[in-house]
Amino acid sequence: MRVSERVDRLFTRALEQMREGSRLKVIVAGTRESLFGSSYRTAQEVPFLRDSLGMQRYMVMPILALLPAALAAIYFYGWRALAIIAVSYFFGALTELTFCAVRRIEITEGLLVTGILYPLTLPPTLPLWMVALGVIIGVAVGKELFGGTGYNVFNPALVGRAFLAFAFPVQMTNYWFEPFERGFGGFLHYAPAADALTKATPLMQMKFDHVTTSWLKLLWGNTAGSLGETSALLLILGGLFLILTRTIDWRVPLGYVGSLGLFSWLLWAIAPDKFPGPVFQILAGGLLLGAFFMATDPVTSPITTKGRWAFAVILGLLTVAIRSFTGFAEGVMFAILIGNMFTPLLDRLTLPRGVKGVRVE
Amino acid sequence: MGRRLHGGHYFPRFQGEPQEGDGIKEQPPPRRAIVFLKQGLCIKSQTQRRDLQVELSPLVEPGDRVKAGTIIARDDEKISTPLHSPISGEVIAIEERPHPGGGKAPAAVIEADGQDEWELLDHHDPERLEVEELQRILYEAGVTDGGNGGFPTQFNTSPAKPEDVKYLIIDGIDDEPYLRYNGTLLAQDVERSIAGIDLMRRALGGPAVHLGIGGGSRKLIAALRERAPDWLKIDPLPARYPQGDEEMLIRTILRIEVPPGGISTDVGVVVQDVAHVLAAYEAVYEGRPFIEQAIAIAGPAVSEPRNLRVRIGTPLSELLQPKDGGRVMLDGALRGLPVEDLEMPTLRNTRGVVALPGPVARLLAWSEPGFTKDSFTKAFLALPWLPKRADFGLHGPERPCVKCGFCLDACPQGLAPALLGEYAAHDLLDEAEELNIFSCIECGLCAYVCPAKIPLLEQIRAGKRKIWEAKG
Repeated sequence: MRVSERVDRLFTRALEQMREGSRLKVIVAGTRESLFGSSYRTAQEVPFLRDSLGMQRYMVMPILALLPAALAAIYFYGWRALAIIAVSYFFGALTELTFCAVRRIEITEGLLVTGILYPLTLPPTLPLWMVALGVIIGVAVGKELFGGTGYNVFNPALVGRAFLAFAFPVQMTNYWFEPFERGFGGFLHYAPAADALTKATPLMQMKFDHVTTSWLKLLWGNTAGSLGETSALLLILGGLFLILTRTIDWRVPLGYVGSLGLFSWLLWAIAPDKFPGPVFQILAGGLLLGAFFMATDPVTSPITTKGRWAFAVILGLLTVAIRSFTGFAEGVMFAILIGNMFTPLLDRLTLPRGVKGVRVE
Repeated sequence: MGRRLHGGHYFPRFQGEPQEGDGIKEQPPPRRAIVFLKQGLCIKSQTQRRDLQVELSPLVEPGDRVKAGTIIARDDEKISTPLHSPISGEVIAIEERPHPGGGKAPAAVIEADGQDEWELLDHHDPERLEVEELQRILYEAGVTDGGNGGFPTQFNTSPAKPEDVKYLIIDGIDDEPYLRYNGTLLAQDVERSIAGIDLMRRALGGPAVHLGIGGGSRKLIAALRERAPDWLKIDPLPARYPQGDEEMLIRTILRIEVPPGGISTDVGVVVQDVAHVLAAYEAVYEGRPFIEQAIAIAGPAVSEPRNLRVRIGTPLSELLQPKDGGRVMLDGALRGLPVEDLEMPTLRNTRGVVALPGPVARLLAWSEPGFTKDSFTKAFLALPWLPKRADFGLHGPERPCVKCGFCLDACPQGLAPALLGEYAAHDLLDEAEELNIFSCIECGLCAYVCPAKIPLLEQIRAGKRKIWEAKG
């Protein structure tokens, strides 16, 4: 591998120039090891044999799974969607690097997922400076203040979004657009046209005007909504990819979607004219994005199997409750953030103590 | 019927593993043999029952002439099994030498005379042996120290007594990467294997006998089934690591649980591997003491991977020369012991020697599709017909746990390794004990599957040691 060697030599030379123990050196050295991945440093204790899956690959899997939804975001709302993602990555990385430099630790891969997940939860025309502010708050307050990837209590992407929802409620809830849906769609536009402004997502239309949206539209995704949440089909495909590659635990999305379906069916059975049916509840809004990509964030969800089931059911219950009985039309973000708070308790209650079995007399 | 193994991981065949059909080649006796006078049970799990590690006093002195099979150390009082000279020649030293398990231990060094004369055991009619006589032969042949709990006889070879044994399990599972030759050994001579198992069964007073097969071919299972007598039950099991561990065999075949920190003989079960079964056959039918064993010479840094029948005490330098930058592990890449000095000999319980490659820089290795990669997840596009490339890398700098839960899914004991490791590393020993840290069988799968590459097995071992020290 001649390219490898050449890049490696570049790093070696750069590192020689840097002062021992300097902040830059820590980060550059860490970056080199991450880039070279695999066997740059070999295991020095048992087991010497290690799984080929490292943190880089583990964190790249959700990005692969989100690519269809991200492409759909561009198709539905124009190239501005890509600009939002780029701003999110840039300012997210800047925040992360600052904290790593101050604390003299190597940069970790957690940002890879946050950087794409967070913009997909935003309305298509949110000013870019707000996008930047949100990701800075999300990464800094949501993750780094807790100690960095692995130690955070709340999903950083949702912390950033929650901050924006409170700081800029108008921009976050009133500017929805009808998507492009003909021909090359948004691939030929930068942003949605001004006359496409609708001010309501399917969930809002349902809640405030009792107007239903067809399942087909929800499945395909040509409805108003956040960048990445509209196409149920692509989100399900991405989620299945993660489940089949065993990157996420199938129990969380199944438990979340299943319990949400059950609870909303109960409400619908009691008062069909007041509450929407379960299929609408599942396909509309951010539920699928949340269930497959945010509730499954390993750091902020329980580690045990039983804990994950309980976590998923709590999320389903909270989402239905918020959507049905509060002033908000959408409840996925709050449900997951509140659910994150249950994680340590659920873990504690369900810690495995070993295989229970038959003991001889 | 038994129960399913919880967790576990099926290891594909890696590059550098001997092929199934290769058989086992004879290795000529070494020019010099080193026999450690230290021996003990519970070798696989390093932090279990240290009390079973004993040191035998030598019966020979430097200058003595010995034959292959001469007993050079024995102690009928302690739980132990006699040790033999593996070659004929002269004892040139009894000295302290570095032991693979760490530290130094006394060892006898024997220089070969090139004659390869054997001192055989007394010959008997194997069919008419009394139980006591059978036990004596197995003891003097050195066959009785197999398994974590040893092989119980009247000669103090195990913490258990022969009359307490209700079950005998033979481990024919090929689950651990690089060390897979149980099927080959069985297939070489099915009649011998069954005769050897019969000897063990008779020596234990007729317990129920199970033979666990995993990873062996269908032909082998069919051949065994056809020739198995009524008392022998053949149990085909998935070759998911660590199915071959005693606790797992006992659970999956018998549905019995070994208590935390306990060993097989505590619950009346004796587990023996195929090598010891064949050694029992050779001892009784041919009078040959247990001084030869099959071991695997494997790993990516070995030029010619193969299974060899070698004399115990052969220095590793006579068996392999790792390619540049390679490191050598005694007993596999998952829980083996690193060996610095290739003068280190094989031990009686050595199952293989593995040479691992040195570090390699591969730019963006994580972005490859991974046709030849092995993972607990399905994150790589591994093609089943390609031999897999073993990974020994840490994939970048150390990272904190992200609580992915893979270690909980993989743990065959159903524990929470991530938390055990964290508690142990932070001296939260009561918490670790409450989560049954002593149930851990130290298979190392948790550290294998960890994407953050946290050394969980080392942390858990250290935790166990700390708890012992705290208890005195």
